[in-house]
Amino acid sequence: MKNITRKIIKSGIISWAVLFVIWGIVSLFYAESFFPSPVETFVGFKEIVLNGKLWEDISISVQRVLLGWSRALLIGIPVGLLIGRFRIVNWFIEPFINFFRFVPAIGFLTLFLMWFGVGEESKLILITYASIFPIIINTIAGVNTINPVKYQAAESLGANRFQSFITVTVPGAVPSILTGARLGLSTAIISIVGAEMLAANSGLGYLVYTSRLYYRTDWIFVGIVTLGVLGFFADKFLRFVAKKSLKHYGVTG
Amino acid sequence: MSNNTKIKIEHISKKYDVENKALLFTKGNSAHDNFVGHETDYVLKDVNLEIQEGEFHIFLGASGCGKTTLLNIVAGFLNKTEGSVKLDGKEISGPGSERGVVFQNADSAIFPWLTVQKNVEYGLRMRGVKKDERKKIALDAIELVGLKGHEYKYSDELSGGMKQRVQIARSIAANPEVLIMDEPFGALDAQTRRTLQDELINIWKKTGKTILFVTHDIAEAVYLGENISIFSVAPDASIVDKITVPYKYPRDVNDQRVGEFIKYTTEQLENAIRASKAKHTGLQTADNEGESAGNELAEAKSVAV
Repeated sequence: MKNITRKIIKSGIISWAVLFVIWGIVSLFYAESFFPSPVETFVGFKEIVLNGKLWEDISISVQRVLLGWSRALLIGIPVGLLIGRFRIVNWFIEPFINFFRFVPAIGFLTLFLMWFGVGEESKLILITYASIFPIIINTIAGVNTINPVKYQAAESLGANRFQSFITVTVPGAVPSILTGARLGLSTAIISIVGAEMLAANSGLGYLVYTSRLYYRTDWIFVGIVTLGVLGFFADKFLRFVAKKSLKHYGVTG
Repeated sequence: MSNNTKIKIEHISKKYDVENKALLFTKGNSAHDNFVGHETDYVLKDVNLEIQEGEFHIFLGASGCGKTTLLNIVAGFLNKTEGSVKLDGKEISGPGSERGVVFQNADSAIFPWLTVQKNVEYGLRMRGVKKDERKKIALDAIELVGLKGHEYKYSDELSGGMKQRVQIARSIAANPEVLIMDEPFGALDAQTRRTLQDELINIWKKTGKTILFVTHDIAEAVYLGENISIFSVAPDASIVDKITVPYKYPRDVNDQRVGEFIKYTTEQLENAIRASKAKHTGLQTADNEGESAGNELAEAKSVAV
């Protein structure tokens, strides 16, 4: 009995239930177009699920997030590994990283639109930009946590510097790379709203931004909740896969 | 065992750099430059030693005496300040596969993302040896250290003693000229330590490798070594005495003569420490010197007695 209670509390169901109750109570004091209740939001949700609009928005946003995030991984991981391992790369690149990582992606939105057009490319670049910094920075941190004895072992077994980079630096940094990938994914999801606000005619960000024009506050809520749910499950999935497949690299979940 | 000089150490001195000057690698990331000290004293001063091919040689000294520093110079992890270290007549500069290293801490030395067999194959893989041959050599080495049946395990499934066996097998498989061992059994329980000591003697007899073994444990030194180099204490540490252990393998620690020899070695080490303390402190009375030497030895003795 005690175990079941613990499990329920641990699963977070109670926290969510409390949040829904508070949401319901607060919504009693306001009009639907200002602060819709959970029930009203659900009705709005059903509406755009049934007419297919929500699926369309989800699929386009997920595509953008995954593409932008994948690009960030493809660039960010090697860059982070090289910065972490080679002092000379560190000297050349780190100043830029420590400058640009404080400039939010939204700050570049208009520039990206101007330079890369209103098509998909500017949105992807924005997402890549937003998610690349946590990936680079965590990868660097991962390289720095590798015990120097591992390099000594590799080199006294005959590995040259390139080989020790591939066989020690890369696998040794895996747990932190995963942390970076997770944080990068969350910033990618966060930045999708900004990317779709100005220059899109589809996607969850577009839904959130344009619903206001039709006074469909319930759809805004649906959009927000969907983004949260997507992020929640994407992270869960990523952790699960990593824990299963990267256990021996020190990934504990 | 032939009479060729394998390792020749001449006038080696070591002073730690105040500043880390390595350019290419980020601090602490290279096998070569992660020792950063702020000492301006000499840790080692004018060390001379010759190790013969096939010899089982022990570096014995109290903690912090510089024996590991010398070992790191021979392994190529540390740069020497003065002098020369030659292996087969060739000057040593940096780590190399002709000098296999078994580290004190197996957890930091083993690659946890590789299975036992892949760890053992590592050196061969770096050299570009073909898969089938790699496997054959690795399995032989794994059998030699008694890990047969554990080929596909990862290090988190292994005990401390088994991890050290993996390290030994990994070094042996890479077929080095010299096996350098830095207190490899220090963290093991007495039972496992004794087993591994016996197995190390067997491996040494089977492979005929030159072994350079660092320890602060006097009994271990006498049990394992053909020759023992006794270190004085840093600063200005050096090898002040060389002892040849006159007993055949396998040695029996309960044998009275071996016991006597351990006592004798203990005295030699005690004298070495006392002498260097006296040199450093200069004007102190004999009593005080004796006391501090006793403290330095406490750790070593407790294991020996």
